[in-house]
Amino acid sequence: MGMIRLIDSIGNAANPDIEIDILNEPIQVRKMMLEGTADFAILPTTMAAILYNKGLDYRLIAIPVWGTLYLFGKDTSITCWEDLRNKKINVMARGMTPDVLFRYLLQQNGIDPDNDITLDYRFPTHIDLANAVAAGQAELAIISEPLVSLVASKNKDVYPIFDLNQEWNKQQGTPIAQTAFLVKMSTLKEKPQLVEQVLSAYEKSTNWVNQNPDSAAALIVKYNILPDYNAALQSIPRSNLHFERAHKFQKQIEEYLNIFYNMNPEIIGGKLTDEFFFY
Amino acid sequence: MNSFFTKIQYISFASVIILLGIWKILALYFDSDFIVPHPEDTFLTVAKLIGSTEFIMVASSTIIRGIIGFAISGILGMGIGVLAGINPRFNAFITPFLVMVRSIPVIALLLLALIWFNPDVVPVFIAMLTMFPFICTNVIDGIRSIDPGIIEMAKFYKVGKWRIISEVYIPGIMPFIISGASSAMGIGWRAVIIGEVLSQPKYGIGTKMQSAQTFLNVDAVIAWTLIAVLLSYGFEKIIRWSERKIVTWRV
Repeated sequence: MGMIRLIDSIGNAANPDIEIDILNEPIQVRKMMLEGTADFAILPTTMAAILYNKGLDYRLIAIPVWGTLYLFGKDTSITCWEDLRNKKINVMARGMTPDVLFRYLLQQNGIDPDNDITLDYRFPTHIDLANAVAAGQAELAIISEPLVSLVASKNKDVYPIFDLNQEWNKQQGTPIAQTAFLVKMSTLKEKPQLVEQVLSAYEKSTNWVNQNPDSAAALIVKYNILPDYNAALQSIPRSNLHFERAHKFQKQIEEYLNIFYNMNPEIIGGKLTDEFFFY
Repeated sequence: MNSFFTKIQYISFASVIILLGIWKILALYFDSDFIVPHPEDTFLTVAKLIGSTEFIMVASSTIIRGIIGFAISGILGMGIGVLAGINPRFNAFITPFLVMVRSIPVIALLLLALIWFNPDVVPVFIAMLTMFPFICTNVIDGIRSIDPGIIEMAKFYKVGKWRIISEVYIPGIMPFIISGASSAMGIGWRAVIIGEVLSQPKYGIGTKMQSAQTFLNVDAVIAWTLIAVLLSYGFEKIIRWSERKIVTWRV
């Protein structure tokens, strides 16, 4: 969403030499990276670390989104973490960012994710889970913006219970370096100006979106990212869009990855990333 | 006779070697652990997985799900199969149902099951529904294959109903039950694992495959697949062995 103005300017250009594909699931982005067809890619930072650690030729150049996860549902009785004890919460795919991040927050708040609570993974993708919440089939769920706002616009009985980003900030004193913007190393070497252009355009676009949420929401609907204007408008401030260069936040990003490494090294590809991950 | 047997074994052995050869060539060609890992690395991963503390829990969870699904579909399949085999009216009634269950795509059942049941039950339900029609149809065919003349004759000589069942029907349908059970088990394991991949119960081979895929451990995905193949092969052997036992018992 932070990219929407950039997408619009490419859409309006007569001869765009850049193409943007918006995919529903990170797995689809990963496939393009495995094939090497993507020059740039946006996907969860944990997945980016896995790909880097497995030897894929991509570097982290920026963090464009700082946490989009919310605990969502219709249970009005929940006001603190302790209230989650013995509840059932639907989470998308085991081992993906929402799952591990939520597990970590549970642990930090004294709840054992394996015994004190039931985590249910029956809806395997973001969209399946969001639909289940909208249809009332999932009472409580961890879902990501912009689907949070979309679900809220479809089903008036559900609302955000916890902002996991705030909860994380309380625990760690830093926002969640959740989403990674990656560049292919060969592109970086062959077309450094292009990379700089994309970086600055993306940054400008993100700033513009935060300053002009009304016009941005209209573009988000125009490019079919969300079907609903109000949902788009609500989603913008909730999505924590801030474009930051990765090397400036190397320490925070490493701390973020380290938390997952301590939970299960496999989540970030079996080892911590070295300094060459950052560009 | 003896040399013929070893020749057959030799051919099977050669086929395994060729398969491994193709795998190795592909691994060398792609030269990437996350596209096609090398066979030797994968076998090492298999050994590591089997040696891990979690393995017993993971494998036994999948096996128990498979056996429960098999038992339920076996009992239902034989019960309904015998009734339908004996009674043509019941057969006419049950046939559309069997055809329907058999032709529904597994994935459609799965998507519904994910909504209806909790994650531990989903794989059992899927396994049950995919195995049941096989067993049922085979039992029906088995009963119909029995020469009605023999039954007629038995009735003429006033042989008791129970003796007809135990000495004519059961031996007659046994080979059909065994072949039904064996093909049912074959698809049953696949169904259990597909169910686990999607429903993500805490323990299960499918759950492990899914996490390995998420973490891009392609060798572990293939290693779990090999373990699943061994499992399926082991149960196939057990069924064949029990067939021989039953045949000797009959003689």
